[in-house]
Amino acid sequence: MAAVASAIPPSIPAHVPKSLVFDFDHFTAPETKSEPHRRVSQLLHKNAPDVFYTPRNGGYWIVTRAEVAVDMLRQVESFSSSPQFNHFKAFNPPMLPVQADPPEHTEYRRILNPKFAPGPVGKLEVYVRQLARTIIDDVYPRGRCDFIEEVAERFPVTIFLKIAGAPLSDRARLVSIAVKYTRSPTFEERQEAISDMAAYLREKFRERANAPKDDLLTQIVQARIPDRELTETEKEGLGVLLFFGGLDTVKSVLSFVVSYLAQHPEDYKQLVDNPALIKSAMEELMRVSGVSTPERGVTHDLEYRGISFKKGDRIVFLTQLWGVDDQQIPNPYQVDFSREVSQHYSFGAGPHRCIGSHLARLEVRVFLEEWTKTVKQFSVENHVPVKTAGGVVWTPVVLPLTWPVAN
Amino acid sequence: MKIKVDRKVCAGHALCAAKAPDVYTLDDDGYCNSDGQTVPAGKDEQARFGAAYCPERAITLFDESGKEVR
Repeated sequence: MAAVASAIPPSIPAHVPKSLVFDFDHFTAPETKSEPHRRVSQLLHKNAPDVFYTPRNGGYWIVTRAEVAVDMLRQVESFSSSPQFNHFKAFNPPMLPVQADPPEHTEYRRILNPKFAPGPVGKLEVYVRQLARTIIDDVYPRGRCDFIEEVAERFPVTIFLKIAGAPLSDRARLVSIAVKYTRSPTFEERQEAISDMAAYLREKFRERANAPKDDLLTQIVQARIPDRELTETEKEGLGVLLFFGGLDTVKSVLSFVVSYLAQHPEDYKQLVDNPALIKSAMEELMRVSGVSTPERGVTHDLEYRGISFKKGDRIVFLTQLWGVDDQQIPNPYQVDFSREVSQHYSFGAGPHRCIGSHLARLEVRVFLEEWTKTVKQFSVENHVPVKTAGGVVWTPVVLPLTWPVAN
Repeated sequence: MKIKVDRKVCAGHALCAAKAPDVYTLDDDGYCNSDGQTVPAGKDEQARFGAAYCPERAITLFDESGKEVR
């Protein structure tokens, strides 16, 4: 389907000057297929304008530089999250809070923040560690694993389903819906995934309305914004986003982090020899492992940094590139655990900062702490290059790992 | 040193409190609530480190004379 779409001759709107056009598709570009952070950065940071227009997928702007992006993401009056200004995101139900602007956004966020703040998330550490142990003990004796299926799709997804209150037996079904959303370039396929997820949630919300539990599903069912209850559409929108976030993004980040370590044994050895380093090394690893692509729509005709935008223009932010932006950080492709500050925006910036960031950090840290205890060295099976995929969320697609097993 | 936090800009990354736990504290939603506080004695370096980690650049530090500290 993507190939057919790419074959259609591109059209450039009249307000976009030729000098700002660069042909790049964040779903299918060859540079997204392996080592995407370095390769897409080398392509775009070196050859494309910092804000450019690509004719792919119906035409949209792409922002590649952290400083520009962080500034734009704060200007919510000009660059809106509302689907009203970005018809590529006009899904039903709209995903919340990401598809709302302040002040509504703030109200939705208030419902979820207390559950995802560092305090309550920290209380999950014992459980997260037990689960990491169970999974590692399970795969270790075999001396190999398919990391994505056997670890990355099990570990964060099991934790999320526990928090949400969804049964583990629904895991495969839910993961396949999330993958369909994050890897499909067409609006129709992504809408289908959203409808499937909303249908699943409707059923769960009905169960919780009758029999409340101590879980996220119940919290959404019972949520209020100051003067009213949430509509069914709002509840579904909140649920859809949380489920996509919980089911796909940590899986992708953890797989990028582990795939880097599998290919850089000297860096991995530092963590094995000095586990106390993991806490700070983790930020450096996440700096080169960003996965998500938030979007905004332009609210009115405007000029920004000398560029004319028209109302309804679609803007895609490649957060993946902000940690490898040479205007932000020296030697950006070099992972260096001795950097004093590993500045990155892998969890986005501005009011829509990833709500799951504290949970994601906990999961990556605890996983590495347990993995280094057991697996003293490991590599990618046959040392093949790790295949990755672009899309709304970037990810490694296969990650076979091997390690020597002590008798 | 005095801490100034732009609460409008703080997005709850919580890296300040993670990197400088003796200096910065968070509210129940996970946003920095150290605005207006004084850095505890001997914790200046930690305060600077936590501020440098803020992805939003929401934290500014001032010395006794009211001059911005970098």
